[in-house]
Amino acid sequence: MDPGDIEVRALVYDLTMKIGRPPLAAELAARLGRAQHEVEAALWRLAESRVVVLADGTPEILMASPFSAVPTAFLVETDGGLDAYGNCIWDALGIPVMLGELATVFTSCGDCGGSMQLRALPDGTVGGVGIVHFAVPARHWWDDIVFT
Amino acid sequence: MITLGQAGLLAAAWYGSDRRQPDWERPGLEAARRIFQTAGLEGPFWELSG
Repeated sequence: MDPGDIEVRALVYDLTMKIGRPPLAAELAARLGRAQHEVEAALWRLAESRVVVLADGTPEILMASPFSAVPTAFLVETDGGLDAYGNCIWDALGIPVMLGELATVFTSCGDCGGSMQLRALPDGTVGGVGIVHFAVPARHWWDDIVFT
Repeated sequence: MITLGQAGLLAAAWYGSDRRQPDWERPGLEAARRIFQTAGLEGPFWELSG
């Protein structure tokens, strides 16, 4: 991978882990002291290699997994006070892993719609009862990763 | 359907490495298969193409 792209990826995750959402291309460019078009080109390449997912037709990050740039049905509140949204329950459980913090995941049952709260530990241990439904087979996840 | 415990194992294995590090790489097919196996995810639904 291009060293410049590695620098962008590192900053994407550094900022995301601090603020709970992926940064804008302009924020990245300002922090790196690089032209925004260069950063946007790096983001396109990172998206091509499936490191991030961009909002449709834009150079802005929609997903820096496990984090979402937009509100989802998977709100994660860490015990350290960071709020973030996961792209799915897998990602929501991945946020405390990535941050190394205990967290509570607020979501709802995909069957009955009832609210659910899960305690998630940094080692992946989950406190709570439930099952997880994956609608799309793994080999088709990237056919439409936003739907997945 | 998988259990929450399996989802947690999947999350820990998939997101347990530091993506800020210069040598980080997205898991390839074989690494992804191993991660799925770690969480006990096997069978046609979890097969990856390529």
